[in-house]
Amino acid sequence: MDWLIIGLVIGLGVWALTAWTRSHKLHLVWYEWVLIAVAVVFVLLAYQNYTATLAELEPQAAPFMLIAFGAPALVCAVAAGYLVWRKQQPVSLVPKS
Amino acid sequence: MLDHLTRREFLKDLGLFGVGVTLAPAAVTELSEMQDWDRETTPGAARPAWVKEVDKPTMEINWEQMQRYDERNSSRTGFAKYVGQDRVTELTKIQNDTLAKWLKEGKPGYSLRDVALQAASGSGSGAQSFLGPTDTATPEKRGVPKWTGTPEDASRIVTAAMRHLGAATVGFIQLDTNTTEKLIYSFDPDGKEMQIADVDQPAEDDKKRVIPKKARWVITYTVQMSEETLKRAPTILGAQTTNLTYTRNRNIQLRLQTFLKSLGYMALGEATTNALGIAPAFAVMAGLGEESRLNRLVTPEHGPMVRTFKLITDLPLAPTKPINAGIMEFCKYCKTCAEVCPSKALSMDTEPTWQVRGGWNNPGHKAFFEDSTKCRTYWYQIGTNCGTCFAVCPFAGKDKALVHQFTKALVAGVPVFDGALKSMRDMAYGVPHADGTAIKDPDTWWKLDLPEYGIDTTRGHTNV
Repeated sequence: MDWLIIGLVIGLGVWALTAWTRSHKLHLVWYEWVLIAVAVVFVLLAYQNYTATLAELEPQAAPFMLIAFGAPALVCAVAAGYLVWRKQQPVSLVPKS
Repeated sequence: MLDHLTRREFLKDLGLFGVGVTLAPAAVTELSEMQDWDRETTPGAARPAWVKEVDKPTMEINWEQMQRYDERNSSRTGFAKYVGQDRVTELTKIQNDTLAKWLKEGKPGYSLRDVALQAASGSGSGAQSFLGPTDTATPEKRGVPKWTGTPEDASRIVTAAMRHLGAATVGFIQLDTNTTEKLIYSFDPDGKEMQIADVDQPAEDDKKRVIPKKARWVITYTVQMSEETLKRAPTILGAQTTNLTYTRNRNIQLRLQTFLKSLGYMALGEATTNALGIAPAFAVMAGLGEESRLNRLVTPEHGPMVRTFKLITDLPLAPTKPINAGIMEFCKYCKTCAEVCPSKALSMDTEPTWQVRGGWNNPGHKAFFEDSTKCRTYWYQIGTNCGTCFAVCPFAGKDKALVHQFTKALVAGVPVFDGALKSMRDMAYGVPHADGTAIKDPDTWWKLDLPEYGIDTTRGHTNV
């Protein structure tokens, strides 16, 4: 049941993200989408390994799983966000003398 | 956001939504099913792709040097030979006094409920014998010919039967006079000579057991122990999962003998505990796992959390090959069992050696030989078999978290990461104590909701 809900959340998320980029006239290039996809996969892995490690009765290892898989997710998400943000900044046409 | 949504965009978004719903579970949970994609339907153990079949085991063997071992020289049967009878008497007194004291104190793992469970675990099994039951309805008695089929068919039906009867993994060996036949004991633990002779039928009297030369096939199998329970080692509570597994095997062996005899074949089993031949050696040769630093079998599915058994038959079977899952290689870097061993019996050498440490070892293979007398002495001191090495082995874990599959695949395929993986494991799970303290609190075991026998019988099998 957990995974059905996660699937629904991800589906909604993907739809919301594409709708948001469209409404804000943001054009994401392919590698930005790849970074976002990788971030999502790592979030899923963090969730799965965290909850499964608790189910394995090894609570001391669960936070490590969260960090080990969550950190790459955060890095990829921040990288994608930064790349998108940077593209939105105005570019000065007059070179500084 | 929805102001300018066109029909085309709506349908595109619907498609993306569907992709998300289906891929999210697939991305994570279904990854564990990918191991089945190239699994062949071969007899014996079915394995994930990262477990490679090999022609020679990962442990080097010098078959010319190896001789059939006299089991009376093992530390289990021949302990007094190595430490002296006076010392055994002294240790027995220490054991009895310690157990009585801890029972009265209600020490966790040694209290009355733990001792009661140990007594229960050791009871309720059928008779164990070399020749097997004598009252089986053979095909002859039923008026039909004996079962025949290809060796592959035979291996398949024996595997199916054994899983049904309680075995975890099953493998097969064809005996060769110059090699695997040497894994049969020269003398059984009870002192009877194990003869291999050109006779038509097996036999047994008070001096010997006779294995017909035509009985060329060995069925070797594992029976799971409860990993969660053995993590309460070294206590009676932790150790009784070992007892229970041996008790279960007496029934499994009896039923396997009945099955084979009902098919029309002989079934020569262990006459007593750990009799007939070197169980881990047969299991390694059949690919159930690899030899390890703790000198027992470590399997890809259950780590060391198994006991290993064997039986000889004249039913032609398709042999299963040794495997390489990177386990023996990982042992070189890990050393956790040796570091934590309370009696310091296990080897801390990085590389295995040909040099044995005493008569309890069997020369002719390269291993991390242990000082078994230190190990067994410690058993007397704590009043029960220890098992700490099993409990702390990194391969002794459950399989729910996906990281385990990734790690095992890395261990099998890229040994250069072994040291880093070991360090990460220590960071995640903590480093066990080296003072004989149980990894997990024995008292908490009684509050768990474990499956039957405390084991996961679905692991490593597809049709569940």
